[in-house]
Amino acid sequence: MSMLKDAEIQYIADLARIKLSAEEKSKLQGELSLILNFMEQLKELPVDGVVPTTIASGAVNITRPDVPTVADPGVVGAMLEQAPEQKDGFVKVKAILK
Amino acid sequence: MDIKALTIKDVQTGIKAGEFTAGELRQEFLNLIEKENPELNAYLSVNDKPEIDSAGPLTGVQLAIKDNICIKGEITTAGSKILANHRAVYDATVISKLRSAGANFLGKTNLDEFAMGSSTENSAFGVTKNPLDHERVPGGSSGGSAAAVAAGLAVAALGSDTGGSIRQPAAFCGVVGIKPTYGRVSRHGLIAMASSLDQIGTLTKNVYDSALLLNYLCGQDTMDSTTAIETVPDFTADLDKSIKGLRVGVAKEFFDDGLDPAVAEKTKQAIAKLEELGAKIVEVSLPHSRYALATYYLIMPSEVSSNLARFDGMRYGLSERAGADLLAIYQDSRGKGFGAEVRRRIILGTYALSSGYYDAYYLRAQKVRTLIIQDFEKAFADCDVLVGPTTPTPAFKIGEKADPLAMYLADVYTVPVNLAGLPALSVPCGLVRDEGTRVSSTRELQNQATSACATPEAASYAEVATKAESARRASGRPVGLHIIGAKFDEATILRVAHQYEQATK
Repeated sequence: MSMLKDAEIQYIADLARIKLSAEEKSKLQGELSLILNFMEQLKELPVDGVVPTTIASGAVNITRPDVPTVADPGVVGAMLEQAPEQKDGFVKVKAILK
Repeated sequence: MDIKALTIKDVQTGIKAGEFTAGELRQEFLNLIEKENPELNAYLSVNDKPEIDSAGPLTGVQLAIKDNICIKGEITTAGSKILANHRAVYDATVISKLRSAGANFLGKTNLDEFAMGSSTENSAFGVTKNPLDHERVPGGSSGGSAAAVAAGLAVAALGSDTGGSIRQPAAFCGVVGIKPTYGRVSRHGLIAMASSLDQIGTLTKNVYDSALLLNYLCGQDTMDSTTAIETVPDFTADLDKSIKGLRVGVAKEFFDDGLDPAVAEKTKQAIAKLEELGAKIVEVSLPHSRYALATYYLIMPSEVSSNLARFDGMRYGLSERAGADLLAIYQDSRGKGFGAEVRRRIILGTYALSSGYYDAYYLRAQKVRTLIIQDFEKAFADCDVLVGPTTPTPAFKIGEKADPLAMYLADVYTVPVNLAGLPALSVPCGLVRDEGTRVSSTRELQNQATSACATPEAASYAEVATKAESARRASGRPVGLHIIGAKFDEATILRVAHQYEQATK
């Protein structure tokens, strides 16, 4: 069984924007390696030319007339209130550009 | 009147006859919950604010709602610390539909965090106990809803099912649970887990109640572009029609290794009953179903990693703001807010979607998904419904499955159905005896001496043992019969289940 490397776990955790402790990283390393090993069975199957399924209903794009609707201001206000910081009706975030 | 046993039909009859009012019934249930929930932990929060009783076909019907479905103004946690204080700002479509039919909502029920799990042990707010045996799990992720219905702390409940999360807990708690066809019920206001698989459904005391509730839940919704345009029939209309001549498919793969022999026996007895009722039993094959679990555990985490990106500590939910920059807020909020299983799935999904691995994992899984769907299409050319066991084992013990892969196996029969987007339900089909835990030490030794599985000897030991146990534990653990239908054919699986239920009452 191939083990995920420590650096690989860190790279994925960075992509997923999740801070992991050293202990969690080593635990995940073992667990994910086991799970990925279980996934190896899919490689037994010939899948050349098989069309991938993204949604089982087979639905394709459904359109409707583009009629603008005005959101309930109560809902907008209530949603904004959930943000830890707001300013002038916007969600306030820390600086992105240095 | 046994309030715990009340079905929707009973409530409708009682309201009509003036035996009770909606408000009185509601108070009775709230009293019951106050008394019994502290031990069970089926409800995470109770809506004890006075409600205005509105007249409608579901007036007085007291419902439990899984805590990943939004009710305006109510705390909606999805079983996660990251949403511990989150108050929903709007009603889910299913909630507005039920509300306008007159139903009441008693409270929000426990679940594995973000519906990720098969036991409710992954909830950030403690495990729910199986009402039939407090040492065992109620199943999951809709374990709180299943337990609330099984314990009689609600008339019926809503759950959600991504890989078996309604049907597996229904089987474990001995109630009826249905996952409708993908697209049948709007998911607007359901906290998303894996969007190509998620579906809202019901947990009820009998099949009729499931059919009736579906009448109010199904239909196209402008707020969920994946809802289907198919017309919604009256699901109760044909329940009483005989199943004579109906072709019932049994896939040999459903009886492979890993199935508890006692569960296999109950399932086979149920199939024999269907044959006795006039159904024609047809053997079919689903050759790719053995790949369903691996396929599911790639597609689902991939969608999870994308859906849960919205929890960033900036807009709502837990926000850890000590860090120096925006990135630190993201990482700290998500690191602290998500539990172990959620982090595991996000990391796994991110890996499967990352550059260099996408083709080998995610794309390959999507192709195998096509093969699994084609298996079902072929099978449904020869039969009208498919039947098998809902789960490979009855309810397991709290803490028994520490290894994530072992837990994933609990969904082996239910996940293929979500991958194919089909409707399926679980209906109780008997009890298997406990192996006789928590009995005299001599008994324990005898049990250890016999095989772990329910051999005839073990069953007889358990039979002796149960006599010494409380009535609650005496009857054994429920088994669920899994009935799978063709797309949009909920009516037929409900009819088969109803006919079976009536014949075995």
